[in-house]
Amino acid sequence: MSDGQDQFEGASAERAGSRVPRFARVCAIVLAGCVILAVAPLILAFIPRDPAVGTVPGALELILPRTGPLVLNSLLASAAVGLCATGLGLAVAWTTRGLRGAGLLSHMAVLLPLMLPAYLSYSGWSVLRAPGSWLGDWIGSLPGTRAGDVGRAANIGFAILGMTLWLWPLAAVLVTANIRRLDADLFYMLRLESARGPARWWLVVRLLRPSILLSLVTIGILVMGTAIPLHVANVPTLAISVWLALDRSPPGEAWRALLAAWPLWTLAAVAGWWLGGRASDWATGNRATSSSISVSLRQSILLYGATSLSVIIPAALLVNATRDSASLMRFWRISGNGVLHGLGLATATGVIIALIAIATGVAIGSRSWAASLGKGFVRVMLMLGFAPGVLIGTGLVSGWNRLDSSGFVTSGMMIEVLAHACRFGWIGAIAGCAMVRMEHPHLRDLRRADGAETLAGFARTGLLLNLPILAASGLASGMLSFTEIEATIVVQPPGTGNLARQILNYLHFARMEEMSAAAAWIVGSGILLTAVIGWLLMLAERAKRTSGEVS
Amino acid sequence: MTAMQMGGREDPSREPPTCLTRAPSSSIACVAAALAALALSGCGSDPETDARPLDVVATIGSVGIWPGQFATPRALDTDGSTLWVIDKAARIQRLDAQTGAPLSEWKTPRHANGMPVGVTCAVFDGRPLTFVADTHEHRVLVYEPGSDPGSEVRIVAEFGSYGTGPGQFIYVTDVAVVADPSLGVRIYVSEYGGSDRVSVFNERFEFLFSIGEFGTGEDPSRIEFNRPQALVIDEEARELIVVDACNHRIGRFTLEGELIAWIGSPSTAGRKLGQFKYPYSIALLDDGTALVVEYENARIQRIDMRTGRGIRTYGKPGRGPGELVTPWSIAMVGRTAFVLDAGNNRVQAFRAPRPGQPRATEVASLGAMQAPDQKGGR
Repeated sequence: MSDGQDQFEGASAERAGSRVPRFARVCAIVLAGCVILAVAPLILAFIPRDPAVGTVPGALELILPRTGPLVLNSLLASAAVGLCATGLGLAVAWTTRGLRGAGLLSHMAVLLPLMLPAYLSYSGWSVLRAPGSWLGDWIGSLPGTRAGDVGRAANIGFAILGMTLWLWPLAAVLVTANIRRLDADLFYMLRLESARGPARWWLVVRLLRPSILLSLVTIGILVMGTAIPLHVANVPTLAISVWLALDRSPPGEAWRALLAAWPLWTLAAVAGWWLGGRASDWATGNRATSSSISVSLRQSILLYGATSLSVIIPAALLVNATRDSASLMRFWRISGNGVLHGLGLATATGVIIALIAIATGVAIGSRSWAASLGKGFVRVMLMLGFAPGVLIGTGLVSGWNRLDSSGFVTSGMMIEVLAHACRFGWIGAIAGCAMVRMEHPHLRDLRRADGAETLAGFARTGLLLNLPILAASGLASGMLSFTEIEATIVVQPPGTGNLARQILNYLHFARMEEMSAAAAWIVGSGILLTAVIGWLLMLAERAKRTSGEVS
Repeated sequence: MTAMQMGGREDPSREPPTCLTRAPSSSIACVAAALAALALSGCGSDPETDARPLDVVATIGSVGIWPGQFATPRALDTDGSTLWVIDKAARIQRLDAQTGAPLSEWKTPRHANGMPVGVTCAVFDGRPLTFVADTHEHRVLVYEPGSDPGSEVRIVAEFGSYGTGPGQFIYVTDVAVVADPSLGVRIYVSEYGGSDRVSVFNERFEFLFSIGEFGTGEDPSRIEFNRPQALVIDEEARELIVVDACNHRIGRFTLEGELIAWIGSPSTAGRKLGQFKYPYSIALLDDGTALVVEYENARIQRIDMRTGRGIRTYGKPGRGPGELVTPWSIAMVGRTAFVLDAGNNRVQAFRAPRPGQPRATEVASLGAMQAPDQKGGR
């Protein structure tokens, strides 16, 4: 190829690159609009409405006393759960060899605990500590303040156990990504040559240090913002105290409590920014090739065992605690309206998240400013995802109350959908990144050359290729939306029957009969839907391989 | 000394931001509030329950932790002139029932495990006493208020300990006291947490017997409770009324604990007239009817205690005047009913229906039922 021809093609590519396709432009603008809808009210919520109201002396000190010990409690809980969950996730990921060649059951085993609510493991295992159980009665029989101290220690233990069993799959996924980049022969070499026992594990830890650190930080930040298990366990942390402070703040005073939560906002912002950047880089980076190693059933025992501890055993404990099998059917009479409302909300959230995934994928997959905007959107969504739900909910309601005095947004389901889109927008953003990564660069160039960058072109090519990942993201976000509590109870208009609110009441007022029935239905439907998500992800992986082969 | 004279403090900085707010009287405000409430609830009115805001005569308190403010209040009773309110900050407040002014406040001795959810004012052995169901400390605290509502109160007794044995409690919810001419003083204590029952004590706080056990109430011939949330004594009928919250029903018992009848049932839980969804409290009226507070339905339902039929509902979900969010308790001072609107952090007062003289709308909703004045009041 001559120099002149090179120059011509280079200039042509440059011209093509500078012209962003209309569909990508629309997607980028939609993403910008989403950011404005979500972030503008949040910013507005921090600004005092009436400066005179802010002059009440000591108002925040009264409702949110001494944040120092609260932050310390939060950090200790985060460290404990981070270490335990990462340890378990690392062990699972390593023994299953990074889940290479994993089947549907393995996908389900990893996904299931994450897809089910954070409080499920905790409330299930807490049956062992409830009044009437051996442990509960023993604690209750202890004299005076000792019963209180031991009871609180048991509550903390169960809360840490519950959150560990909820979050270990996240660690497993992060470590797995690291393991998949390792040479497959390394496993055999380690088995043959390395030391046994702790020395071998230390070698593994050093080998996987980046993903272990990433897991510790990610899980730690999620725990910092998680309220329900620690709240039900009566452990005062910053997230819970801010929640109570928001609950006790007079109208117009919520900004004080929102500001007091600055450590949570800061952590969410830093983590979201950093991880968002990494996700965007992963989307457009080199596609790693991973060799396939079959995993024996024996090697998978730890995986299935961990999932059983996270989901199956707690659910069984809850169902076993049900004293009357009729409670399972009565659940529908008592909570039927709440379930219907939750399903409507989950469907709306799932559809929006899938649309967000399309917009993100198209924007990042394009060039120039649209791609930059898409990458920025990923960062923002991850920031919002890391922020505690109660902060997101309160901020949105406060902000929208000021933007929309008619109550059009805040008086119906719109504010709930908005809050859930903010909470789970990160799933759409990551799915968008996965869409870009799924498409082989050569295939993408072919599509561009063919002019298939319009909406119709995308529908005929990219949409079909990415249908599994889009459906999986919509389904996953819908499942999480269905059982989300923190943001829901803050934004929900009074009188709305909602499953999340009912479950919070079941937990808060120890209505184990209703909680057990709800858990049985949630776990049952969760297993089915997780199987569908696992199958969709396997289809997506197959499509990715096909995409590589076509190119 | 009148209640009005007792209320109020000289230090303006101690005054609550919102003490007692009169309900809006202008029709425009009412229409606006109704429209806002309609929008908030997200649905139209229910013809069967005639969901409308309460006809509020006064609102006491607002969200906050200053005196006269509440942080998720969960217990309410009255000694006739003052209201006793306990919130999730473990504060017990006494407020003037006429003005809403805060008179005194203090905290329970221990509250790290959780807060009380029940309070009962009673005259015991000729002395006014207040029984606090110290839920998460598995005991009942007995306070003796001073002669002046603003003066210090002191704990004169406490009874109960953790356990499921006789005289022990898991989570105490409420107390009812009666001085019966034939039985003497009886103290009834309800609890939940797996040992759901009503324990009965004598005047020396000695355990006598218990009523019921945990159960989901499918068999109405059995005395089963699932969170008996509130107790009240019908002294004239010599009955113990138990609000069986999670079984969505109300039980009528003799003072000896024999079941007379259930009103409502788990299988009929709902929001139609005559149905309950998590009834949490009850106030008896003089004409054989009662006002039942429903936590989940966010309303108050007037029922006929003898037939169990629903007469009318009051209130609807919302944040506006006369609207309710997770109402928890109710107490009567004369003909004024005070509703603990827990989710809105306030107490709303409304005029209870006149005994024996149902309004035109009530008669219409009665259908085939006899009007209360035709049955003869108590």
